[in-house]
Amino acid sequence: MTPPAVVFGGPSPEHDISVLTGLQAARLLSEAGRNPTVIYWSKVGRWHQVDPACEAADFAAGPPRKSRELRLVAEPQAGWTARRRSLGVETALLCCHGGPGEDGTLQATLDIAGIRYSGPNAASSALAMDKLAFGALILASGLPGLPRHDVEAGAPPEFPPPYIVKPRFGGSSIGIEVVEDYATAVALAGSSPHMDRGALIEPYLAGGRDLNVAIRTYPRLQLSAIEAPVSDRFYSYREKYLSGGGIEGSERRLPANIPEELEHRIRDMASQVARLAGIRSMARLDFLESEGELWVNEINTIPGSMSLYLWVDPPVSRRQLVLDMVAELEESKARVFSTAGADGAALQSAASIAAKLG
Amino acid sequence: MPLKSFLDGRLFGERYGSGKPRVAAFHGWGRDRRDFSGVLEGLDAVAFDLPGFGASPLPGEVIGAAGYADAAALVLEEMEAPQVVVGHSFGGRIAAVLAAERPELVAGLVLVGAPLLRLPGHSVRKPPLLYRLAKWGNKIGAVSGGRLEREKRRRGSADYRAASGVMRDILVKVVNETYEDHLARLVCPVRMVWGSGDREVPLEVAWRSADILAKNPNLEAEVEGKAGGRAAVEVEVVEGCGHHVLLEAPDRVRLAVEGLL
Repeated sequence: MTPPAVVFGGPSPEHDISVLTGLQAARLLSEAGRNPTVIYWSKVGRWHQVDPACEAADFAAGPPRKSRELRLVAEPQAGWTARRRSLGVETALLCCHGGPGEDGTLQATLDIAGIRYSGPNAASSALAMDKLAFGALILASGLPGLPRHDVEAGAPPEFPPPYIVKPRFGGSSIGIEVVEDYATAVALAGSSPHMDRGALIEPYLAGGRDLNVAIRTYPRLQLSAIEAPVSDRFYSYREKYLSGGGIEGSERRLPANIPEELEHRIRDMASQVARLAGIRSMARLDFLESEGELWVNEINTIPGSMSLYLWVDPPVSRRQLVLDMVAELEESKARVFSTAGADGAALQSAASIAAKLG
Repeated sequence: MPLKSFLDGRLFGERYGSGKPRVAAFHGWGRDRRDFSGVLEGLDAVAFDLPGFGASPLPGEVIGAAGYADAAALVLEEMEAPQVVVGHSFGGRIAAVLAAERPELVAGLVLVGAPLLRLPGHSVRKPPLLYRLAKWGNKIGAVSGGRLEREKRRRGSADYRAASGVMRDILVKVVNETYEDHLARLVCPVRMVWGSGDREVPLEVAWRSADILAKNPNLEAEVEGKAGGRAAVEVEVVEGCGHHVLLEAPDRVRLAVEGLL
């Protein structure tokens, strides 16, 4: 079987973190003898094949030296090519965080190229990245979710300030702010570069906390231990990633010390959301909890470090987790576009185009 | 603390306390309002995100500390009482200009690791010949923009490399500014809080700034008249602390602020 490709980077605010996730996955697969094709997507959107032994610092100033330039051709039997010859990549473990690598754009491109990939399909990826749509799906399904209000609705939300203002699209906590009033929310949405595609308002729960759980779908639907990050209610990108050692270096309680009944509710809801949102491979689901009340907050379909560090109970090794993701990927089927019914009959019997326009 | 917009969304600030603000805080280059969380908790204060940092949008044009101070003055005009103004590093440049140009808005000044003047031997160096050649080559079309950018990145400081667009031009402008003239015109009490191990803005800058303030004929009399018994100038050295005093020793900055309230 063709070795899997590990794909990371991309034109996203989370590019750097994606490099860390991708290099970890590539290293784990190399150590397991799977000899992955390692593909780096640069911040300016170009593709490069790189050595699996690269270190994170090699990417700090752009593609590492000795990388090979690739093109991604969205046609069957093409995909990633070097000097017009296809690399023959059939499966791709996607380690891109945020932006087009996680929001369905890359997924749709790979569908057209006939390449199978990890994580949800293009539609589910797009849904998970749209906080307003995902929140509406949760509420419409009868699951508990906080009300989300479109900043551009033209009137303040029904719930009282202070508010949390979030970019409508985006995978991390980048750009999230607590604001004093609606005018500030509108002003922020108008000026923040993270909110140029929209922003939403949520009630701010003082004293609330995050509770996160990873979900994997192979060999069967399984949930990790539940973590409680130790910091602000919504921990900032800086705290999450820059405070030492990436997301894994952040302070957390793992497993979270929570009542059994709360844990049961989280596990039950997580399983429902996994099915509802079309989760595949590995995802992380974030809940909010305040005084025993629980809300589904966000889903991250390609989570930082692939959430490998959350699998302490049940204990699953990082290598096994990545190998399972690849096994699931290899068992999956490429999307097939159907042309059934388009047999040309309608074309042959059609009058001229000019007649139709007339 | 929740964020609030000022000047129709051109500036954002984080409010501390529930009373009318008495302290306005300005952060350093590449930082944001959050640097002040350990300093201002429990006070009635606003920590601002300066234009181009944190939540605040980019300035529309290349401005220096005076341009930033103009924006700060517009916000302070909306506050009822004169403020104790705290500025760290780049924010200290702004605070000093603001206090000199608009003394009626500033009740006191706390300057933390602020590059107010250039030390002897630290004059701005002429760029190396190769870089100047590359710049000239770019002007006549012989050197590509990408190549020139690589040269700039190779030679620039970490702040310079991280900045882009208008912010990079602003950085070049402000690092070439000094504020001796502004210090000589101050008429409010000044506290300088400095890390003994500040390598970015050495402690010597504080001592030399204090010398300039000591020669300011109006300062002592003004402070004496407004708040008898209070020293016009004090330099507080935080032993073992580096440039980021706000994060390493927030209590010391807070004490300096409280002393002026």
